[in-house]
Amino acid sequence: MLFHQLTISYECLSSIGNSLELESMMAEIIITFSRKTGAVTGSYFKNYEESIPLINIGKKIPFSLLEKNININKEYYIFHEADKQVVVLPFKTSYAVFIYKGKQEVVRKLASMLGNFQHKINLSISACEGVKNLEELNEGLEQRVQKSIEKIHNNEKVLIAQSKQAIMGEMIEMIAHQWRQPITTIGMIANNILFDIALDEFETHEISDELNKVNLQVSYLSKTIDDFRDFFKESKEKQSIVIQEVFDGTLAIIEKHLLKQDIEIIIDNKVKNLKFMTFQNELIQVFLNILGNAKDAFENKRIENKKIIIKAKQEKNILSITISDNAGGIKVGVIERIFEPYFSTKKKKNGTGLGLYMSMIIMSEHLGGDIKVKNIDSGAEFEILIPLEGDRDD
Amino acid sequence: MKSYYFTSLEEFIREYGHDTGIYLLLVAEKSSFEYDDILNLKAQCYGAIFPEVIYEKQHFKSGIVVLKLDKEPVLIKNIEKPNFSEIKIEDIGSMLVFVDGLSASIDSFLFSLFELIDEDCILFGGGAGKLTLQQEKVLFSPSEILQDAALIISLPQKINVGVSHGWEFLRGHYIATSTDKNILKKIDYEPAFDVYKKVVEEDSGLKFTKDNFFDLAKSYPLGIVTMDGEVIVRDPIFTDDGDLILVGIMPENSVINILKGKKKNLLSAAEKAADVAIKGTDDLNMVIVIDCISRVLFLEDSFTQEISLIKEKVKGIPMVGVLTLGEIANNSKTYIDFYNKTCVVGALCSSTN
Repeated sequence: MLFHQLTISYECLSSIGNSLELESMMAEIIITFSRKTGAVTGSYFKNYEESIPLINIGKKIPFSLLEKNININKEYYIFHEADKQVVVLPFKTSYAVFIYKGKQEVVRKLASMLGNFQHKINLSISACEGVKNLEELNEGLEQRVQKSIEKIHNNEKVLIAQSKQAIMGEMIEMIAHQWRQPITTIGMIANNILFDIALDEFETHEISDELNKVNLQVSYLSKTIDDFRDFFKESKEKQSIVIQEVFDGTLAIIEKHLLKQDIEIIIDNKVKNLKFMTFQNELIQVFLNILGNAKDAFENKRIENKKIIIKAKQEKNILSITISDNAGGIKVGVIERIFEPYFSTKKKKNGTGLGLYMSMIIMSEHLGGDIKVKNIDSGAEFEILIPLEGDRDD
Repeated sequence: MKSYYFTSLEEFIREYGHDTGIYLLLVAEKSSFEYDDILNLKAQCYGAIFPEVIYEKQHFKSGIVVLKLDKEPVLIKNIEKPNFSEIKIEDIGSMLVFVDGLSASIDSFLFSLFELIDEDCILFGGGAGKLTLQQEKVLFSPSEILQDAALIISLPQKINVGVSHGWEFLRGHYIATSTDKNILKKIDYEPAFDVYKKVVEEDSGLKFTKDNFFDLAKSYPLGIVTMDGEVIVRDPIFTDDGDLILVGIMPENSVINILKGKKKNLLSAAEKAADVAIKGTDDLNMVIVIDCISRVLFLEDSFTQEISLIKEKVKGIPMVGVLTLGEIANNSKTYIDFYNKTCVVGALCSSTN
C-alpha cells in the first residue's frame, strides 16, 4: 500500500509546475490529482470569493462553497457533506477542492498527501503570476514603444513641414533674386517707352521691338515659376530619371544664387545615360540643402576661386554623388553632429538645423540610400549613395 | 428489455424490419452486414460493429444480438468535440456507451460525458471496431454510419457493475516518461518498444518479428498502477518507430508495470466481476457483458469457459454482450476509466431510477 501511495504521490508531484500559464498548469494538477486519487470532483477556484471554479473536472460541486468559510491557514482540511468527503487545499489566494466517496481513513491519507504539495503549488502559482505580470509589462512596453514610434512619426511630419517652410523662405529669396533682373529690365523698357511718348518720338516698330523684349522677360519669369512649382509638387511614385535631370532641376533653382557669390559650379557626370528610379523632387531637396550649406560656408570668407564640384559615378550597384567645396571644411565637434535635428551653427534666419537632418531622413528612409560627410583638403565633401539594384532602368 | 440473437441481418429484417420499434443492433464483425439494408426499414436501428458478440453462453464471430429499447439512443458525431445537446440526462439510472475503440479521443470524451451526467448515474460500455484494428465506420443510427463517434443508450434502470481483469505483475516498476495521448514513447527515458521487447522476449522465449507484434503482445499488456493497488490495463496493439500504440491514453509520468496472463486467473477475474455485479441485487432483468477481444485471443478455446462461468453466476437471467476494443466502467464512486483487456459485467435491475 505504501508503494502505491508513493507512486500516486510521484505522479501527482510530477503534474505540478509543467506550464507557466496558470489555467493549464492547474488543469493538469486537478486532472491528475482527481484521476489518480479517484475523486469524483476536482475544482480550482482562482480566489476565495469566486463561486464558479476556473477549472472543474468530474461532477459539479452540488453545494455552495462560499457558505463553508474556507480556512486559508491550513495545509488542507476535510469536511463532510451528505455521503461525500470534501478535501480543501488552500493556496495563497486561491484554493482547490476534491470530493471523494471513499472510506474516511483513505481520504484522510490522500488529503494529507495532497496537503504536502501546498508549498510547491504555491511556488508554481507565483511563477505563473510572475510570468503573467511580465507578459503584461511587456505588452505595456510594446504599447509604449508603439506610442513613441507614432510620436516620432508625428514629429517627423512636423520637421518635414518646418523644413519645407525653411526651404520656402530660401526659395522666395531665390525667386526674388531671379526676378529682380528681368523686372528691372521690364521697368527700364516701360520707362523708355514712356519717355519716347513724352518726347513725342513714339515709333510703332520700336515699341514693337521693346514689347518683344518684355515678352522675353515675362517668359523667363514664367519659366522660373514653373521650375519652383515643379519642385514643390509632391512625389507620389518613383520615376525613371537620369541624374543630370536632378542636377538641372537643382541648378535652375539655386545656380543664380551661387553665381551671385562668385561660386563656380563644376559638374563631372560619368553616368550620363544611367537611368534609375527615384523620387526626383526629394532628391533635389537634398541637393538644395547641401548646396545651400556650401553657399553659407563661403559667406564672410575671403576665398579665391570659390568652387563647388559635383561628381557622379557608378560603383557596382550604387550611384555615388559627391558634392565638395573649398570653403574650409567643417569644425571637429560640428561634423559629428551635423545630421542631428535642430543642430545648427548658423545664427541667421535660415538656420533651422533641419536641412541636413531632413536630407539624412530622405536618403535613408525614403530613398533607401545613405548620406555621409567628411572633410577633405580644402573643404567638406558630402557623399550621396543611391542603391540601383532592383530598380535600375537602363 | 427484450433480447434476441439473429444469425444474419436478413433474419432480423424478416422478423422485425416492419416493426416500428427502436432496436439496438450489436453486430459481429464477420456478419454480412450492409448498412444500407437498414436505411428503409420501419424499425429504427441503432448499433455498432464489434469483433464478436455474446448471447447467453456463446460468443459469435458472426450474427447480431438485438435489444429492443424504449428510447432512441443518441449518436454523437465527433467525439473529439462532442455535442451533448440531444442527451436528456433526467431520469437516467445508467448509460450504455459504445465508442469508436480506435479513436484517440476516447478519454476526453468520457470525461466530458462523466461531467455531464447525474452523480448516481452509472456509465458502462466499450469500444466498437474490428479485429483488423483499422479504424472504420462502425457506429450507426438510422441516418448515418460513422467513425470517431459514440452511441449513447440511456436506460432508466439502475445497473451494478463489476470490473476485473486477472492480469498479473511480470516486471516493473517503470515510469512512462514520454507519452502523447495513446502513444507511449519512452519508458524510463528509453524507447518504449526497446524496454517492452526485452522483457517480453525474455519471458516468452519468442522474438518479435515484423508481422507478429500483436500475437506476442496480446499476452503482455501494460498496467497503470492505481491508488488501491489495482492496475488499469493498457493493450499495446502496434509499434511504430520505437513507440507503443495503446488502446486508451497513457498519462505522462504514470507508474507502469508489464503484466502477464494466466488462464486460470483471467477466468477467476471474470467470475469475480460477475460476483460484484450481482451482489445485493434481487430484481435482475438482464446481464450485459463487455469483455475485451484480446482476452478471447489469449484464452482461445477457454474463453467459452469464461462466459459459462459468468452465466453460472447469473443463472437464469438473460445474458448478452460484446467483445470490445477497450471497456468503459464507472461505479459512480470514483472517476471514470477506460480499460483494456478487462471483463466488465453489468447487471441491469428491473426497477427504474
